[in-house]
Amino acid sequence: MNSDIQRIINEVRSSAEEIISESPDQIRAVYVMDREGTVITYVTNTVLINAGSTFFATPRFISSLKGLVSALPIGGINYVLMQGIDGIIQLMSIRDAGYIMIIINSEASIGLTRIILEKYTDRLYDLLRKLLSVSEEEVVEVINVEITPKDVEDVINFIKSKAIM
Amino acid sequence: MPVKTIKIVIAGPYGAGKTTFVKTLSEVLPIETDVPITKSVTEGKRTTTVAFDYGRMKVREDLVVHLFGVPGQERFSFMWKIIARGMHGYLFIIDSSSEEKVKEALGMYNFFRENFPSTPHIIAANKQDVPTAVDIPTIKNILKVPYEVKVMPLIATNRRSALFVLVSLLEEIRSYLLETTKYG
Repeated sequence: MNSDIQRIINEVRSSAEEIISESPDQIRAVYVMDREGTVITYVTNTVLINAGSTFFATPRFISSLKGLVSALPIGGINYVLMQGIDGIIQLMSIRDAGYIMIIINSEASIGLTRIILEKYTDRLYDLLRKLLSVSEEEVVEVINVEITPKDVEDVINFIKSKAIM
Repeated sequence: MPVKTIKIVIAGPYGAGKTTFVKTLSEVLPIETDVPITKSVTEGKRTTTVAFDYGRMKVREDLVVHLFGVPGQERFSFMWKIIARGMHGYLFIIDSSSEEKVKEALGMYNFFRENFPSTPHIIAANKQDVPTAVDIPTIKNILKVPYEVKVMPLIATNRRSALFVLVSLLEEIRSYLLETTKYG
């Protein structure tokens, strides 16, 4: 993995850890996501049974929210509060760069944690923008020349010629 | 003459056997690894080096196959989409030595299914030589594999097994191209 990418991810993770440390008795988990909800890093301060599945569910979550919001006259997603039986989710957009989501214990801390999230938005925005530009540059754009079934057949025959199957 | 590139992605959780698979193939096939990919300057593209597991096989002067391994760790998941962009097919390798290991692959497999719903792929159940290996029907059930997707046994250290899986994936890609040509 490219060292620039790794360094930026580490910085994103440090920010997530700092967010938890601001209110460790209230904030159970922090997820930092890109624009499509793909988790870049997450930090938990308790054993969350569903931390891993939440990780993979977030792209679907963001996509569903975007679908819902597009049908409502409220513009883009700035802030979402969702109360469940076992906790509360606070989701905040990091402008056009991504999202930050936290899971908290009680509604009593909603105001405080929202202030905490806002405090970190600028820093996370800068990091996500850097991350996106570095990762886009690092990955090869495959030249888009159309592949035909005959090309693939040639590859199969080539492989078979190199090795007795 | 423009060079055609077939892009194949080798996906799967950390420790599933992706690197071993490419390494085994490179023992039989003329796959170059650890070489920088460069974009042709004559086509107005800048030169870029890729820092991922990667192999390249030249089939004809105008046809190369690129194999990209995606990092299996969850923390690199945001890179999966970027690496997979423009791929023609992917091989999803899982560690099938126990049901727990197969279950660990579910999240990543769903991620690929959701982000690349129509891309041809097959699942390779690695470590089938382990006595506790999970059978193919059980793997299909755990991963909720669509009936049309093949799940194949794999021993990534075995050349014959690795080649068979690669050829099977290419056959899937070929069938897909034939179908899309027919109806496209």
